Amino acid sequence: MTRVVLSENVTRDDVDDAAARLGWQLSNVLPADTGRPAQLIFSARGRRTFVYLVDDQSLGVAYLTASGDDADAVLAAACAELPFCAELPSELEALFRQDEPDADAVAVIARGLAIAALSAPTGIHPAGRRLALLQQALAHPDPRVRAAGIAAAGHARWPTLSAALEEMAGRDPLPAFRAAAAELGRAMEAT
Amino acid sequence: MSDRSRSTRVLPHRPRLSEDGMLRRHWVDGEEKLVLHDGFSEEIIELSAAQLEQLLCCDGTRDLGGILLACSRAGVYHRASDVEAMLAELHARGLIADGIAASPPEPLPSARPLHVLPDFWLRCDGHGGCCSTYSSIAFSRDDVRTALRVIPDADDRLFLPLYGSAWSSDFSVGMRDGACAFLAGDGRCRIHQAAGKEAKPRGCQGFPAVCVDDGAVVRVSAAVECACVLRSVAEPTPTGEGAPLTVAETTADLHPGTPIARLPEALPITPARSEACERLAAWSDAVVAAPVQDAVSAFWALSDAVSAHGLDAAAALRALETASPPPPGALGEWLLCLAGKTADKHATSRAWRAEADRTRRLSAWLDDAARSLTDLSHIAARLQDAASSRWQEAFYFRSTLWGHQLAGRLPLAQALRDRAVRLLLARQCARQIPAASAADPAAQHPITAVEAMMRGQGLDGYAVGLT
Repeated sequence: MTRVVLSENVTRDDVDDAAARLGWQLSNVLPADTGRPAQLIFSARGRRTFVYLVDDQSLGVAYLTASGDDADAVLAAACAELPFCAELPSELEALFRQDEPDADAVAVIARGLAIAALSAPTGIHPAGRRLALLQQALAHPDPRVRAAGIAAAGHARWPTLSAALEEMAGRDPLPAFRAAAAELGRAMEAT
Repeated sequence: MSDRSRSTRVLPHRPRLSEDGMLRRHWVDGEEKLVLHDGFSEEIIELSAAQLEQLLCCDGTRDLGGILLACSRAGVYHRASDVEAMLAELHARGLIADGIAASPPEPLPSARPLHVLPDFWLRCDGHGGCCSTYSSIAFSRDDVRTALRVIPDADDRLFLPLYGSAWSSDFSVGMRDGACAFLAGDGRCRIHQAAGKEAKPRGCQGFPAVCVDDGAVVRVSAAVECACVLRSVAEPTPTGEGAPLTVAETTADLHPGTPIARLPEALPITPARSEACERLAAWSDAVVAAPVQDAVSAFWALSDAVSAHGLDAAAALRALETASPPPPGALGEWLLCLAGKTADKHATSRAWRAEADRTRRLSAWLDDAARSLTDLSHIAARLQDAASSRWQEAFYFRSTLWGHQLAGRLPLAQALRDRAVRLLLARQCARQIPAASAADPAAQHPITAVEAMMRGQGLDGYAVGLT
């Protein structure tokens, strides 16, 4: 499923305005719930396609995804109307080198990891920079960065992350993180 | 009713427009205007078509997400922030309630006898004066169905909820230049012409009857809000012409939903004192049986008597025997407040109503007269006015008091003063009839214009808090 991560400065008004221009109709409003982020669901008229605006506060990002007959075309049209994150933030590696990043840096790292995970092309197992960032996050000395890494890995589910998750499941100093990594690894094996 | 405290509280979880808010569709000089009347502050808020439909989606059953979806389904959703901002503004004005409205009050016990104002038969001139004066003309669901059935070009867009935004059992019809949308150019009711009197809304059928339950009987009197009422008094008809205010004998015979005001068990007499409402009937009967030379003096004297002695009929009769015009200065504060209210109403009417709109004309007329009465010399002159209008005032006195019409917003002592002030205003109106209202039926009977504007356009709020 293709996901388009929206730029940080995109507002609800921007989305509503774009939806009006694109001829989408608001079809459902789902508040955030346990284990589920807030979502707006639009139907793209005449296309039997649904567009989901997911506002995931746990990841610090809002992103679009779509399902239905013309999902890719609808998302492409959305990209022409709304600013989105085409590339990963350039400062991530520098921030990773900090053993104890401050809160703002952690937020940037978390958002960067989420972008890396969500915006990866579907059907392709990423290598290179995206994979390296998530692997580094899962092994980072700061637990806040490792937490952001697990969250992003849960959305990515790349088989190429299996080794890093196995390492975390066996060696992370925090029991909760070992358990989370193990569970994610098992879930990925099952799919 | 909604909590009127205006604050920056969080929006209610399931918002709806409160009963203080009245959505109305007007055609002004041929142009459609959608307005929200704030029934408490008397302010007018103009709305776009989309805003009206958005408000109608706020029915007290939906949270904000549900409201946005309902707006989307209705084709009036663009930005969530626009809907939220509108609701926030109305909430700051105290016009948003939470959840669904309370259930209607318990119906009256069946078969309460009706006592109808004696010696009065109404002859309606059929020229639609009463159809052109009020902000709201109420239709029940059945009335709406009937109207849509008998008037081919009518559609349900004509109707909006009578109060608030939740679809309910009562609706208000759209108005063209201040007149009911079903009023034809010749002043006749199209529904009446198409299907007879029984097809008219029940409120229209019952006008000008006022029904008040005093705990023993329901008294049916005449609201002196239409020139036809006073013409009917001035020109008594041979037997068989005209109609009594109602032919029903008990409440069970009335149309379902006929508005019947109920006296509170503890009737406020002054701001500090109440008396059992059962005493009012005897008091009223004694007062209206007494000869009254000057109704202004009589109302003012009764107010003093009630303040001092409550519902003591003997004290009231003594007061009437010695009633004389109050000192002009005693009315000063009342008339100043009245002038402030009429000025506001005139300004508001002028801002959006058509020139041909009767409410705009009457508000200008009353405002001119009220401003004149801020001059003590005019007050003194009106207090001494000759008897030409006295028969009208005498009927007004009789119908108002016999019919328990004073039991409402004000304690009785203040309500009596209020009625003296209204009569004084009517006297002044008779002295300065603007050209625009020279042909109005109320030109010969200004008290009807005063009364209609007081109840129908909220001018009566001027007296709240005065003593």
